[in-house]
Amino acid sequence: MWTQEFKQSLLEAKPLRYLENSELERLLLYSKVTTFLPGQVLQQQGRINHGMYIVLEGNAIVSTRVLGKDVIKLSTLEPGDFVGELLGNKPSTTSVVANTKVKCLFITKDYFNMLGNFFPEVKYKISKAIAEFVCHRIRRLHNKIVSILNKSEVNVYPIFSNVLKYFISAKNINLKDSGLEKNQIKDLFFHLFNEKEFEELFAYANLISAPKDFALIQKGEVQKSCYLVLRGAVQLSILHENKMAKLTVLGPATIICSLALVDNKPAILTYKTCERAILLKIPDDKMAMLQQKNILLWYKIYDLICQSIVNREEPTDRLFLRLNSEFYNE
Amino acid sequence: MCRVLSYLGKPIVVEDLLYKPDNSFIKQSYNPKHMSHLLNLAGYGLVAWDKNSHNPTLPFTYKTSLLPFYDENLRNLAAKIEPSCLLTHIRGVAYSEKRVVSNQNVHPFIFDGATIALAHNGSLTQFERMKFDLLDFIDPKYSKSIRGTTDSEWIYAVFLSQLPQTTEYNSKDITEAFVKTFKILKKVRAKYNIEETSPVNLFISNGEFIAATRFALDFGWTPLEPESLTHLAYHSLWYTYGEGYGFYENEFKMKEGQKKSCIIIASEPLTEDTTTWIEVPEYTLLIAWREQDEIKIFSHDIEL
Repeated sequence: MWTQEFKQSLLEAKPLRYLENSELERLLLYSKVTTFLPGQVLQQQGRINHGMYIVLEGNAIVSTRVLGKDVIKLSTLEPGDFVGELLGNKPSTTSVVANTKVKCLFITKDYFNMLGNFFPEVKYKISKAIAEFVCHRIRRLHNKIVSILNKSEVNVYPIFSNVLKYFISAKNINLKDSGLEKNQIKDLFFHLFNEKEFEELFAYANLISAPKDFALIQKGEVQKSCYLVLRGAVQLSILHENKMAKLTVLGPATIICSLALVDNKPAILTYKTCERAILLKIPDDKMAMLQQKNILLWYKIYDLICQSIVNREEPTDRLFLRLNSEFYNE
Repeated sequence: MCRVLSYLGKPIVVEDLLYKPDNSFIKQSYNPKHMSHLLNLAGYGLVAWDKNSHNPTLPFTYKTSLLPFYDENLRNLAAKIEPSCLLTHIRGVAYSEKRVVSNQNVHPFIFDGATIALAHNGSLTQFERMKFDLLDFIDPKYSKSIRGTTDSEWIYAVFLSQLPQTTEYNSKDITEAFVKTFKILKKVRAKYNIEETSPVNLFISNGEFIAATRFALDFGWTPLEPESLTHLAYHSLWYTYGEGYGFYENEFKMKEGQKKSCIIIASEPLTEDTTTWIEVPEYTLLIAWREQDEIKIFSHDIEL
C-alpha cells in the first residue's frame, strides 16, 4: 500500500527521523493521508489539536495573531515539517493554512498514546524527536529574551541571593518525615504505572525536603536528574547577568528536569524552590541505571519528561510576550 | 472559588463584558472554564466609574445575593452604563448551610470614605482562628466598617490600612501596600501554625488604575486529594489589551492595534480562544494605569 519512496520521505520528516522501516510500518497502521486544497485550514489558532500533521507534499503558511499586533506570518511549512501536537493538550498558538495543495500524514493523539502500550519504542523515538525540536525552540526564545533583558531596566537580582544559595541545602528524608503516604505519591504522577512499576521506580528515587530558595537546576549545568514536586512550589526563571525574569511557578504533580535530559546541552533555565518543598528525586546515575535495567519503565518516565519539556515552551513564549508588553520589575 | 474581572480604558457598555462574549462573565457563574468542582452562585457585585456621571469619583455600585443570570435589573443596567473602569465579582463558596450568602458578603468592597474597591478570589485557611489578630493591623476607621463575615473584607481592611494617607496613589504605594498585607497575613498564620495553601488573588481599583495579584500563601501545600490539586487551577489570572473591546470579526473580543487603549485583567479569559490572552504567573502583581489615553502595564514579582 505504501510505496518505498513514500516511506523514505516519511523517514526524513522531523518527528519520524529516528524510526526504522519496520517501526514506521507500525505507525502507518492507523495513520491516514489527508489532502488539503489551497486556502483550507490545517490548524486554527485557539483550538486544541487532536493529532499531528506531517507535510508530505505542498506547503502551508503559518501565521499567528499576537496580542497587541495584527496577524503575523511566521513561516512556511514544507515537506518534512509538522504541525499539531502529540505530547501536549494546549490550544494552538498559530493558524496553518494550505498555500498549495497539501498532502499530509495525520497521526491522532489517541493512536500515539496507544503506541505506548504496544510499541513503546516507536512512541519513545517520536517523543524524543519532538522534544528535541521543542528544546531547540526554547533555546532560541531564551536568546531573544536575554536580548530584551540586556536592554531593559529590570531590577538587578541581589548578589546576596547568589551567595546565599551556597548555604542552602536539601536533605534526604524518609516517607514518614514527608507526611505523605506512598499511595498519595502514586496518585499524583503514576496513574499510568502499575503497582510493580511504581514500586520499582520508587526504589530508584530519593525523597528530599528542600527549603525556600534551593536551586534544583542551575543555569549552565548538564544535569540529568529528574524531580517530581510533591508539595510546595518551584520557580522557573531565566537568569542573565544578575537580572532575573520569572517564567512560571510549578506546584505539586509537576516534573522538573533540565532540557539536557533530551538534548544534552547545558541548562538555560534555573529551577529554584520558592516555598519549602518536598520532592521525589531520581538522580542522574539512577536514571541511567533505569534505562539499562528496565527499558519499558524508562520509556514511560521518558514520556512524562518529554511532556514536561513541551510544557515549558508556553511559559517561555509568554515571558517573551510579557517583556514586550509590560514594564517588568522596573 | 469566585471569578473576578476588571477593565480600564475607553468607555465600554458593561453588557459587552458581562453577557456578550462566548465565555462571558455572567456565564462563568454557572459554567466557568478554568475551575471545576464549584459554581459561583453566592452573589454578584460591580463597581464602575464613569467620568461623565454625577460625582465621577464615586462609582456606580451594584450588589445582589441573587443569581445574576436571572437578574433582569442587572441586565438592564449593564445595557445602559458605559464606564471607563470597572471591577466586578461573582462569589463562589462551598455548598453548605453554614455559609452566609448576603449582600454584605458580596464583593467588591468599598468602605465609606475609601476610594479603592477590592475583590478577592481565594480564601484564607482557618480564617476564624486568625481574624481577630488582624485587628492589630487595621486602622480603627476601617475595622468599624466591616459588615460581613468574609475573610476578603478583613483583607480589604488590612490593605487599606497599609496605604499612605492620600487619595492619589502611585505604583510604589500600591506595591508596598500589597506586600505589607501579605506579610501581615503570613505573620498571623505563622502564629497559629497555619501551613495550608491559601490563594489571595486580589483585584483593586479606584477608577484611575486597576491592579491584581496572583499569589498564594504556602503555595503547593494542599492536601493531596485530586480535588485539591484542581483547586489550584481556580486561581489563575489573565490579561489582554488592545485598541478596544467589542464585536470584531463575528465575535466579542479585543481588537488588536499598536496602541494599548484598554486592558482587561480577569480570573479567566472571556473568549474560548485563550491565545490572545496572557496568563500571569504565580507571585506576580500587575498594575495598569492610563496615561494620556494609553494603558501602561507594570508588573512586579512578589517576594515576601
